Amino acid sequence: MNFSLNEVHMTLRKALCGRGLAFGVADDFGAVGARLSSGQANDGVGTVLRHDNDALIALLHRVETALSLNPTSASFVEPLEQTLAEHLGGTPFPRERACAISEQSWHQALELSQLTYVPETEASRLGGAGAGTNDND
Amino acid sequence: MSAITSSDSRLELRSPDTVMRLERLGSAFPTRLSFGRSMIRHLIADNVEVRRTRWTMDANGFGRATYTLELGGFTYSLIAFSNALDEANRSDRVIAEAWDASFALFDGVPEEADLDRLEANLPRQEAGRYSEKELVISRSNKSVRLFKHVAHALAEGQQPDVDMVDSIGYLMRTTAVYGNGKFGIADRFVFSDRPGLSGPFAAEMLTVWLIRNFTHDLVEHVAAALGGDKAVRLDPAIKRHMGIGNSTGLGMAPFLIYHPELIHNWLNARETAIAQVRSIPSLTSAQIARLQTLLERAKTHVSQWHVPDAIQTERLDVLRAELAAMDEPDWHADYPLQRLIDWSLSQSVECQELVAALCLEPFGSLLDSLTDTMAFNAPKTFDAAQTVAQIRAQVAAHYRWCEGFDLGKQESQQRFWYVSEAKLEPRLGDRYEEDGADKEQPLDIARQVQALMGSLQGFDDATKLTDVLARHPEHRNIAKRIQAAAQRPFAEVRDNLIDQSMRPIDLLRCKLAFFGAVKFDPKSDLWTRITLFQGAPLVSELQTFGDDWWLATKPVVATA
Repeated sequence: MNFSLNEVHMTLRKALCGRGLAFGVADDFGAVGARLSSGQANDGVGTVLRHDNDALIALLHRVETALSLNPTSASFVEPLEQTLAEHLGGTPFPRERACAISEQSWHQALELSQLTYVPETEASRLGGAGAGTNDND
Repeated sequence: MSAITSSDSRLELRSPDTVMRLERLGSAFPTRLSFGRSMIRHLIADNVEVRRTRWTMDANGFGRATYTLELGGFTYSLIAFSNALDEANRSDRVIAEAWDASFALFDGVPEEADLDRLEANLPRQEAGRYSEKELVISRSNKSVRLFKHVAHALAEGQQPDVDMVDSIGYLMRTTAVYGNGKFGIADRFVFSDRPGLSGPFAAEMLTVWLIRNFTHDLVEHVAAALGGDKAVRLDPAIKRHMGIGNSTGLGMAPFLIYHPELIHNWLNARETAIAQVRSIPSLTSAQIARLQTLLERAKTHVSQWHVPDAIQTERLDVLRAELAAMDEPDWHADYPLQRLIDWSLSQSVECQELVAALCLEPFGSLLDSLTDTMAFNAPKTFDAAQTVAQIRAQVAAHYRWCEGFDLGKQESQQRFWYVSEAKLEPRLGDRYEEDGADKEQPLDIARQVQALMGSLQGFDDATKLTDVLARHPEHRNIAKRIQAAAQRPFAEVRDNLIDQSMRPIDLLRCKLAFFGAVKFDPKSDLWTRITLFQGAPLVSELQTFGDDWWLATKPVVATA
């Protein structure tokens, strides 16, 4: 199976949120995981998920502190993602479809994502958009 | 007027404190900058011809079809599958599992193998799996009432009832249009630098316009099968008035909040356009004649806009009364559009937004290049070396609108946004009545700003943001937004999105107006039906009909 990079980013972000990581941090590592997954060789989802939340937060702090010493790159997200990817043990490729995410990693990401969803109840279903309408008109 | 200025420093834009309120966003009208309009202009400029390259339909109109066109040096195809659908399964809700028709915008010309692959997936939509060759996927349901009426009328050699065509507006309505990598389709970056598809939602708009054409062909096909030699084709004026419907619910609302840079670009372009026409010192007689024609058209359009929703009906009644009581604007005065827009400030918000949209319409050569600024492709930035003093200053400068919300009150945080386990549908819950607030989506912007400011009290002014965020990673999201908004005054909706009184429909109307939607038909404060491409040129008349279809009105057709 191969994936679009946006679906890798969004799925990994949700997975990390499901694991309890704050949304803003999960978004950064979702993007990093997508960049790492680009192409034929790397399972960026597995690479990111191998690190626990505290380790990811600490890595982000370390890399941002180091980058802040270089004013030309300090405010851009691109070098941040690049450096985070390198610290996680991969090289981000130019943007291509993700072809090497293992079934196990993807399954793990989907299972963690599930933790961000609220189970359906009758009340929530009825309160959803479009409830109770005749759509054959 | 505020001190906000565009890149042209002579222009004074409306204040984001005015523009970015839900009530005003929820009163938006389409303008010539709307994405459907700019997409059609691209097709006209590129001399695009649409060819029907495959049509394998049975007498009931079930089967497959493809259409192909060249745009900006690339070839694209619309692939359509039409299926029998039990009435019990015809639902506009995203949780539906079957539809009357399903579609893909395909990159290139599909082989039979592509069609077979897609026929096994597209009718299942979210449950299917797609490739990089699919740029957009969609599905639609018939307006059974209008489809049947039109098919039977044409089969009998008659044109359909124009009033019914006008009151419904479409033969089919889409219930989702997916782009940017969803379910494995192409990422947006695959085509975001291609001519004609670089604008926001351009690929989606192209898909929807082609779907509209498919619905016209389909009803004529069914009529021909029913009526044989007796059957006639649709009158072009009636056909042109058949747009494509859309049902939109809560799923669309979070998009506006999750993309602050993009939303700023949309609003900034529109507000710059309004400021530009305000600064026009005088009008030519041709421009005056055009504005008079458009004003009459707008009045007629509004008079033909009827919906069951009580709130929208009341707003439309007020708007109609305001337009009826309006004196002829003094077109020959100095700065006539500034005067007209200023006059509208004493009218309802619907009227103000309609007048602003009207004033843009005749000035394509002045304004249309603004559509090139509406995508967001610039590198993202985030400065973690910023100090606590700097972030405090940014909040003071750009988030004063948050200070007015008393989040201590229960009703100020009554609602929470979440994603339902059922088909991943975004929903709104009651924080005090329902479970799930621990899985809240971060649309509570004002609350996040206040929480950040609370945490910053424990830090010195010189502390770097990255050190704050290492201890408080929960504030990283809002810290990013604050930095984005500091450069972009229209990045934030300046209302409390978790307040009990918040109406999601306002967010939907804003986004849909930018798409070019008309005839907003709210079904509750959670979802709406709309019509796209009503009055837009047909595929056969891009070069002859042109770009003049803002707020289309019911066609006047000679009766036999």
